[in-house]
Amino acid sequence: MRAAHRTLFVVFLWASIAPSAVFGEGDRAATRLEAMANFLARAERLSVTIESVYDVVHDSGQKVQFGERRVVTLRRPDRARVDVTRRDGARRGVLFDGNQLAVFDLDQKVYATVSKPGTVDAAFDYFVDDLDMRLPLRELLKTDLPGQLKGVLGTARLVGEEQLDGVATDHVAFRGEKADVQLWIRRDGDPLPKRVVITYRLAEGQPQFEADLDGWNFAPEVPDTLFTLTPAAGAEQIPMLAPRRKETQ
Amino acid sequence: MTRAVALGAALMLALAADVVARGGGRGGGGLARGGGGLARGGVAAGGSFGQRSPSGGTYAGRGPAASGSFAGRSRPDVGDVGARQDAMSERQAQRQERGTEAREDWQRYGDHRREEWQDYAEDHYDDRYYHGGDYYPYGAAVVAGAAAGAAADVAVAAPPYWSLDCVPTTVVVGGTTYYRCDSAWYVRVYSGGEVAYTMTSPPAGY
Repeated sequence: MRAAHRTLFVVFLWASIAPSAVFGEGDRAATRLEAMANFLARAERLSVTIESVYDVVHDSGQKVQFGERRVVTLRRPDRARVDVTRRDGARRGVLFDGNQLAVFDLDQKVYATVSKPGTVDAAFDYFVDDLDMRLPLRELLKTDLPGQLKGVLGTARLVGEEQLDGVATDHVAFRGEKADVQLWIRRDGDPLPKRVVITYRLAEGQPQFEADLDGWNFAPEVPDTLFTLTPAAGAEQIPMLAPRRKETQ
Repeated sequence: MTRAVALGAALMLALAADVVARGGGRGGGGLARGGGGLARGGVAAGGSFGQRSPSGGTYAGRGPAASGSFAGRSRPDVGDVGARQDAMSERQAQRQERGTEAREDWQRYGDHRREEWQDYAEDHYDDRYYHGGDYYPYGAAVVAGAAAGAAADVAVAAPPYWSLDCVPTTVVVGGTTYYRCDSAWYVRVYSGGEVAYTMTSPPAGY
């Protein structure tokens, strides 16, 4: 009987302590996410190099990985440049000068432009949502990141303290509506993301996107010319086709 | 910019012509989406956190826990490129099977372009692809040179091709490079983040 009481006491004690421990990890994860988001959102200008890989699941179920390097430069509120080098060597980029979005492909010698006066945030959304173009990790580059993350802070958990390439990080995981996201946030200095892994758990084959973010610079040289399209000699202007979407239900 | 607008107009004409070809087969272009390579698109290529607001298309403006409105959002992720590619591949395969009749059909259906165009639009309106719990029709619009936001109302277009599987002859007219495979003509466009090819009218003088 006494043993039974002891067991009940232990269970009661565990039940009392365990949730607080879990919530404590959640609080810390949320705090880290918020710190990162606020820091990135406040930056007036920045540049970062993003080395990323992503899975493509084919009809057969075969999963193939592709990769690329992106050098992103922002001068908020209305200038952006992204230079992309794919693993196969293809070079292309995106420019936004506050009035016009431009994409170019140095190897195919083509470019396209679309008028879109406004902010980088709005231009990035238009670029992805309306033009159906790629801009991985757009969320991290926009000033509304803190607001965007609010909805998932409740799901955030601290996985642990981990070393990535000799850098001390907090490994944080949270669940989005369609994707599971893991972030490794630097523990020392500014709360910058060091790595991001996104698992599209609802997609066939659950493909992943993974990126390492390095070379953060919050005082890059950002002259106007950096964001202005100057087509290469012989480059041809081509149209953009965007999906036409209409709610059917 | 003017050239892009002119090319856009040409594309719309060509897309109408594509409808004619669709009546009994595509215009003998011998094209293949993917060209034997492995597609680069797909949901993970987008690198998005996978959440959007219902109106602005922004990621989790209020978060999925704030309301159930995300299920009703109007815009799919860029990741549906992969699904669209699959659907396009299937359509392309079907068209190629009918390809031998293309030239005759081009003539035969020439008087019925408007009707066919409408059929084509309706067909593609029904070519829904699944994404994140919502179904969306596929179409495309020429946007370069148009005011932002006006793209969706320009035209319904045939899906483009990632590559040509013929060895095309090229002609440069008015600063635009045209690619010819048999009787079919194509120009380059941006689509889904990549440079692709879409059918067009023959350039002036051809």
